[in-house]
Amino acid sequence: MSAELRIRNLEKRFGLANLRPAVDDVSFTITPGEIVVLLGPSGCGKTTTLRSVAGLEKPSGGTIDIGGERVADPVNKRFVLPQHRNLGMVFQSYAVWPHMTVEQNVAYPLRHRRIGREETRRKVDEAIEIVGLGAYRERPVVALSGGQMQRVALARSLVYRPRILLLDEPLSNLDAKLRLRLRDDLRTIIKDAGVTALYVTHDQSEAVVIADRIGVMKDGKLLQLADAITLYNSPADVFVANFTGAGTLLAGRVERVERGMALVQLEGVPYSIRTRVPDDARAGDPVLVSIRPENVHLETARQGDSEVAGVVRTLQYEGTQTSYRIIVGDKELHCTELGTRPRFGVGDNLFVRIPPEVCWAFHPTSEAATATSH
Amino acid sequence: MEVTAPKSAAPYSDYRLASAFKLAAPRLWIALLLVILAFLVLYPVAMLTYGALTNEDPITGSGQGTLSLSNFLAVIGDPAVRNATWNSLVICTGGTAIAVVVGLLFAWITVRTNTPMRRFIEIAGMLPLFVPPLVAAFAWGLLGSPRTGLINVAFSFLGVPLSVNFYSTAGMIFIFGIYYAPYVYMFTASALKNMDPSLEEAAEISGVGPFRTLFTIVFPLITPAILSGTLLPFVVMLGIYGIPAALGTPAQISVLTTYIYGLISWSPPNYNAAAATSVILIAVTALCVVLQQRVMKGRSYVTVSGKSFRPKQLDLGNWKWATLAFALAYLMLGVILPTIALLIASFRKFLFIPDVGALFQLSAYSLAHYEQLFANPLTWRSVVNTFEIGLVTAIIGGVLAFAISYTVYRTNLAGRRLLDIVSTLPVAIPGLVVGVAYIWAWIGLPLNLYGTIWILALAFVARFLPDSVKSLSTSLMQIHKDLEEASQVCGVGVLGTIRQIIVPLVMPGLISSMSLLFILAIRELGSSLFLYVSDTIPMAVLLLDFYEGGNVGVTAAFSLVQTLLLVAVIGLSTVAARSFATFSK
Repeated sequence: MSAELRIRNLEKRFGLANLRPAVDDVSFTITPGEIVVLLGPSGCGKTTTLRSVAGLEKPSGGTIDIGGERVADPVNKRFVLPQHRNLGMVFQSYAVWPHMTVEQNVAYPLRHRRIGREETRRKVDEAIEIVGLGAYRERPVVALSGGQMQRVALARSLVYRPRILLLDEPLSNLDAKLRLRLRDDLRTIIKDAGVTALYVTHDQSEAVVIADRIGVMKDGKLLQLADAITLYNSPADVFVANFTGAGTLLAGRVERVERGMALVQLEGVPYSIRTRVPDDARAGDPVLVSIRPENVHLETARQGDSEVAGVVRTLQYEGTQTSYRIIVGDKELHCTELGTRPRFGVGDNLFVRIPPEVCWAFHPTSEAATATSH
Repeated sequence: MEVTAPKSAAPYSDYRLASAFKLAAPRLWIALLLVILAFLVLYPVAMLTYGALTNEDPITGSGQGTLSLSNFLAVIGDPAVRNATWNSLVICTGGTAIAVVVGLLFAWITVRTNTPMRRFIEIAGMLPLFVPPLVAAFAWGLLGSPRTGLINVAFSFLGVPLSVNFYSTAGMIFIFGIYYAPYVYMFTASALKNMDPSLEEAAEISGVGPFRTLFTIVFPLITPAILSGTLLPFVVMLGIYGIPAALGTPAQISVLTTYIYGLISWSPPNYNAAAATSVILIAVTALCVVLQQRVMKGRSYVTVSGKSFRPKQLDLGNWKWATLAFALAYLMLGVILPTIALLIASFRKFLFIPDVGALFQLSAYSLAHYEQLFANPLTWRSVVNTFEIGLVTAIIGGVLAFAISYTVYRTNLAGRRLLDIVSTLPVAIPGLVVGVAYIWAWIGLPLNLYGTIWILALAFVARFLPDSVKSLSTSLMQIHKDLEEASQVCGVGVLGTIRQIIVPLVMPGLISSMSLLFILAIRELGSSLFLYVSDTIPMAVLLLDFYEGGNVGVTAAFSLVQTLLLVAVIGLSTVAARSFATFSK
């Protein structure tokens, strides 16, 4: 039933060959039953990758295997049409057919699979029940709300037990409240169905909740594919760090390295910070240290020698939390503190403590120049 | 229990075989559509051009004639042709100017002012569109003939020292202007409706008054729509035969269409000169169409923003009665006066009206003309013919337009651009010229198409192809591509998806396209003129026969009958389209 998806060196070019490909040498494998989310800004190639798996786009290079069957291999002129791939897909626009009822929408895929009336009915009932629309089965879909339509789309794509479920920004047309609710339901429904899923979104919080593993894409390339904790704590590069919400990036030079941890002398800050580093870091390397605003602690008094003194430059009260910009040396550090009452005001002196295990340093790449620290 | 798509489990070799067929099928499909279009459009136009370049006869011609430009030189050197061309340009330019002023004013009144009864005015503004040109011109001939016209009778009764003569260039300009104003109205009203009112509010907040805003913000923004709404009626007017035939020919004012008609209907017919003149008319029309598309390029979707605005409305104060009066006057001129004229002419035993008092002598009225009309077997024949032709045109034209729009807008098959271009070509071919081209194309062939209703229906399908493709592709493009892809991913192939998803969703659009075709077909006069025989005569041509035969009473009666039939058909098709449109987006 649920199958493995294996993508090797996938490439998709639109139009002229000299343009940058929309999908550029992407390879990854999803194990049966796993949920992988492709995350990235618009135009990064995530949707094109998904549509290539669906068969709605013809790749221009690489291979796609579903459950061991090669469905796309342009070099050998092999291309299986979408209707023969036995996949399920949930569209951003819901794509429920407005001239049918909920039940007709869900039964539609089964009508083409030569299944008995009794069994069709049972499967449709089951699928409608799974998405919680039991009371609506006779309704025309146009009478439903956006969230309900998306549930119909989900039931329709699960009813025939597809080998892989594809979801293309399924929540982005819903309003914020509904999005949160359906987001939590989605993972449960997909996991209960046990189906392999490829999910595309630009919303990192959605990705973190739904995914087993997250792949971050940019300019057609897959930058990093890892579980959320790794992604947030050990981003592969500046882009991934920024896209997952890194706060401050401080340039520095590695003083010494021992067992994955390093002491880094920061530029412009009279302070050496302890941080985790990649395995290939050596003393003397220039690095960028990523410090997330949520991981910075503010203290009124010095507790030991791991703090550095700072002054509050601005603060922004956000209701359940407060965001500070703190001057440390001649740099600015972002910090967010939970709580409905701000503890500091503009101009207050304080001490900043940064736990080493949540800091991460990486080699500055060309992207460091464009990386902004917010 | 595991369910898999039956085909994905098929062995590899089967897949290969299926894919070989699937590779060929799309090409065959495109080829089929192109062959149909070549048969309907390209071949007749090619034959017309051939006819213009030889001195052969289309009936006896062997296709061996020598090619030369002598026909063109003769036509261009002919002062009668130059005169007709000049008249065409003057009348159509004047008519367009009036249509633009009236149409634009109407659009502004209904969309942007608080004039009372706007809904009514909106409908009234469209009514003249349903009056066939020949009927309109005939009715206005009754009203405005130099001595006996009803208007002149009324003037002399009231002691007004004026007299009007609609059998003149000015008369034709006026009639064209009145009856083609709705085209301008349609273009500009939708542009005005879809304009973001905050653009005007921004101007007013900057300190600019409402009237200056109208001229500095509103009109410039809808200029593409105005220009397009200008060129379109101009092109349509160039190809109209009914109005100049009824009002120009008696006064010996010839225009290109009546001149071409003369070339073929006089004895002996000069098919070659007619072909050459037709090519000139196509060239002029094509120029305007290209201009229009240039103007609309890239802006045609500005009006379909998807957002719905509440248009800003201007409080006219007491001026709102003036705008209402203007609208009522238009309704009077476009619909009420001509209808009264037709009623009087059809029910009066003799049309001669010495004074206004004679209008109210009941003894002068009878049903004689209607009895005479319905006693004539040709009348019934023509009604049946017209409905047969309309039905065939609607069905063939609708199905063909669907096939073309789907292929052009919903597939990425090679050759679809060519399909698009060829199906748009007839825009530049006036109806009368389609008739001339079809004579050249089919009369000499042993297909026996000539003399059947099929040649008329096929000519209409070709003539109205651009309109039907356009209206169908609009409704097709409203169907989100995802709806189709969802069906494919669910395991249903292209044909199954078209049948179960696209066709049901596009049905309201298809029905209204077919209704449009049906209506256009039963109104059409120009393309029928050379393609009918006595057995296949359509209503519009028979009306022209009655008119030319000089029987005013029967002509008036038949004019009313035709207009009523048209109104009934339009009403029915509106109801049909609405009942299909039960689900909206």
